[in-house]
Amino acid sequence: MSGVIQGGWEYVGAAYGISAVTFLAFAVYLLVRARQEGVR
Amino acid sequence: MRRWEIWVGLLGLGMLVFGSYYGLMVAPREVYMGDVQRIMYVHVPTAWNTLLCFTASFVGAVGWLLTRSWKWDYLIESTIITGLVTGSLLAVQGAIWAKPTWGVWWTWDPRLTSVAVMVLSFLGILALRSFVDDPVKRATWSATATVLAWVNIPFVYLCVRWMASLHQTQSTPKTVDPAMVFPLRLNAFAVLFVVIFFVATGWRIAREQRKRELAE
Repeated sequence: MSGVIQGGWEYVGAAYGISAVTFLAFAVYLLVRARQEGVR
Repeated sequence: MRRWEIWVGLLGLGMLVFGSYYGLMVAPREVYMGDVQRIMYVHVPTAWNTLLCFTASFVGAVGWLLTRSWKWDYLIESTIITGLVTGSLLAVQGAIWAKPTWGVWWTWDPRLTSVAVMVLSFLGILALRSFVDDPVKRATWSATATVLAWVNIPFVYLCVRWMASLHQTQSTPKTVDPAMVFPLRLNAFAVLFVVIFFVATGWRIAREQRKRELAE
């Protein structure tokens, strides 16, 4: 079928990878900040 | 931190892992975009929750302006920071999707432009908060700016219907194939739960900071 995008898993991997890293990094940042601020 | 906040965050994380697996491995390949369309299962939930975050900022702003209760200022701060993280991620995910489908990483399309305005305007409010030392002035000025910045949010969502846009109209459970609804809906709630954990944690950090500032 013409116009169909073939492959593209590298883009999919990049999007999911960046999302995972961003969510995990922000979670770690918040937990460290919470500990520094003495959040109970 | 309350126990429920940690459980909500862990639930969101677990759902996100399963939803992403389902979107990547189980959901069918889209007929025109092929596998690239699988980015939707993480991009669209991030978009919805970004708009939700900034709407919560608006609620916090109105709450502060009406009541001068600090809990609303904590909400403004935590939702703007969380919204900026998800909003920036949203733009990056969109650019990664745009390259193989549109042939460019970025174009000044109404949706992309309004998202850029949204991120930059809330980034400006965060910068404003860092410049103002007086907590009351900081809360009032940033709440006023948040109300103004929020005006763009409905436009971000609806501009693809109102204007000729390269960006497709909203992907919702009503507009996608039934086989794509489950992972889309699952990841939407997964990101929502993760965002609730972020906002709740940010809220508590802001509360401790304000307590210290007001005691000085």
